[in-house]
Amino acid sequence: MPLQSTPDTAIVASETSTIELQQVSISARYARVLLPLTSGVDLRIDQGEVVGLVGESGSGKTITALSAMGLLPGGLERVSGRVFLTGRDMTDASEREWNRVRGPDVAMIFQDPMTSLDPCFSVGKQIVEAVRAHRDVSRQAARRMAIEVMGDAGIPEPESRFEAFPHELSGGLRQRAMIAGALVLEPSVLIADEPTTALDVTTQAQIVELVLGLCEARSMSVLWISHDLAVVSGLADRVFVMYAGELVESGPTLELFARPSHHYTAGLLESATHRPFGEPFGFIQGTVPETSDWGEGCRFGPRCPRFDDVCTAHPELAQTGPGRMTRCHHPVPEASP
Amino acid sequence: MSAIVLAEHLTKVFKSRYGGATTVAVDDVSFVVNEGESFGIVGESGSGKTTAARMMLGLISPSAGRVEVDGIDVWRGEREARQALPKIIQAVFQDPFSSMNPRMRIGRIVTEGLRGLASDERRTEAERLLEMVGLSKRSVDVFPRQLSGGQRQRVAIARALAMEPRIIVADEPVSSLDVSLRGQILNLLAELGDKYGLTTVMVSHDLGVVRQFCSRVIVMSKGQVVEEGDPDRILREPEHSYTKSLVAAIPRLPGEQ
Repeated sequence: MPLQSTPDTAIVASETSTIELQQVSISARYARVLLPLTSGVDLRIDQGEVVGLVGESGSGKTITALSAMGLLPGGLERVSGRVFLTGRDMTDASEREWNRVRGPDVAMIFQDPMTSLDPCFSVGKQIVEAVRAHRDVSRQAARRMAIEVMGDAGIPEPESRFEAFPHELSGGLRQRAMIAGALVLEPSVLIADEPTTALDVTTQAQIVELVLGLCEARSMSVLWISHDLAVVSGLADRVFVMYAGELVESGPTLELFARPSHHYTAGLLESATHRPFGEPFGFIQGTVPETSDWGEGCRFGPRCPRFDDVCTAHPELAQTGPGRMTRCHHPVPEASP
Repeated sequence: MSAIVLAEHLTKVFKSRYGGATTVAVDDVSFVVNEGESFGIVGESGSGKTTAARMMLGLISPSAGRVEVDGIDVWRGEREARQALPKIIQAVFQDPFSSMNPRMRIGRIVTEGLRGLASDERRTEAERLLEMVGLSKRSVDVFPRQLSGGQRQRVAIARALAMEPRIIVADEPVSSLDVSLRGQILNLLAELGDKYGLTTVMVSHDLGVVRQFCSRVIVMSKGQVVEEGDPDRILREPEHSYTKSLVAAIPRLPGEQ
C-alpha cells in the first residue's frame, strides 16, 4: 500500500486504526506565552485492540487522550500534529464535525462519573438524550436501547434504575451508568481514563472485566489510561509509557513488563511489585518535573539511576525490537537468562 | 509482647439525623495491638475499618464496647489520663490537604500540638521534624498548597511525630498518591517506626501493601472482623469467602502470585 508509510511522513491514517495520533504536541496558552505540555506523541490503536497508556500524574496522558476526542479544555491547544479517527482526518475538524463522531465513533469514561453525568437528570434520560442526538429513533425505542445497555453494563433492575438520579446510585453503579452511556452508540473505540482508580479492588476487578467483555462482544478497541501497571498488565495487548509530556517506551504488554528497556518503566514496575513482609517498597526518586524544568536533555535524567554526560542531549524515540520503541541513551540491559 | 491497644466489643451505630434509618458501621469488634508491631486493618469502603480506627483515636464515640490505649480507657477514662492520649497516639490521614489549615505555614502546622515554645525554638523544632521526614528546612515557610501530594503526606507524618507518640494510626496514607511515590512514604513510615520503636496501625483496602508492611492484620467486612492473622497466610490461603474475593481481586503484574 503506497499510502502507508512511517509516522513522520504520513499524512493519511492506516486503514486498520481507530485512533491515530501523529506527532501531536499540546501547549497551554498564558497570555502570549505557549507552555508545552506534550511533545510529538505518536499513538495508534488498531481495530479490536486494547492499548494501555501509563505514567504518573502530570505526564500528559489525559490531555493526549482528550485531544483524540477534540475535547481539550479551554486554554489548551494542539500546536502541531494530526489526529485521525477511524481513518478520517479530524485535525482541522469543526465542533460540529466532532459532535458527529463523539458517541458513535469514540466515547470516553472518566475516573469520577460525576464529570460526565448531569446531577439534574435521571441516568436513563441522559442515555436516551445521547441516543436521540445521533439516531433518528423514537423515544420508546431509545428508552429500550438505554435499558438494554444498562443491563449489559451490569446494572441490576435497569427498568427501575432508569429513573434514578446519579446521587441515588452507589459509586460502582454510577460508574456502570457512565459506561452504559458511553457504549449505547456502540463506538469503535472507548477511551477509559482511570475509570477504576477511585473504586475498591473488588469493584475495580468487576469493572475491568465488564469493559473488556463488552469490548470483545462489540469488537471495540480500548485506550485504557492508568498509573497502575498491575491493572494495565491484566488487560492491555500493547502499552505506551508517557513521561513529562512525551512517549518514552512502547511495546507488547508481556514483553515490555518482562524486559522494560526504559529506566522509567523499570522504576514503575519496581514500585508496583509486591514483596514479602518487611522488605522495603520500590519507588522512583523525586517527582515528575514541571514543564518549566524539562531542560534540554533527557527529561527523566534527574531521577534516573543511569544518568551521565550523554543524557544531557535529548534522546530520540528509537526502535529496540519488533514493535518496541524506547527513548533512552542507556537502555536497561537485558537480564542474562 | 504487651498489648498497647485493646478493643473490646466495639460497636458503632450511626442514626439518621431525621430518625428512622440506622447503620451499624462497626459490629462487636475486638482486637489487640501489641507494642512495637505493625498492625493492619483491611477492608473495602463501608467495611467499618476507618470508624474502628477513629474510635481508637478518640474521634468517634462507640455506641457500645470499649477501647483502651496504653492502659487508658479512651472514652470513659479519667479526664486527666485522657488528656495524655495525644502524646501516645497520633494519626496520618489519606488526604493531608483536608487536615491542614490552608492559611497556616508548614512550620506552624507541624508544631501546632506543642505547648510552651518560644518562636525561635518552635522554628528549630519544625526544621528538625521536617528534615526527619526528608523535607528541606526551607519548607517551614511555605503553605500546604505549594507542596506536592507526597510532600504534604511527609508533613502529616512530621506533625504526628512532633508529639513523640508511641502509636501512629495511618488511614490509607498512600491511596491518594501515584504508585511510584507510595514506596517513598511507606518506607519512611517503616524506617521511622523502627527507629523510634513505634507501633503502627495501618488502615487500608490494599492487601498487597498491608502484606508488605504489617506483621498481623484483621480483615473487616460489613462492620465485623471476618479473618485475622499473618497477612502472608491470608493471601496464600484465605479462609473466609469475603477475603477470598478480596485476594482474587488484587491486580497483579505478569508472573506475580
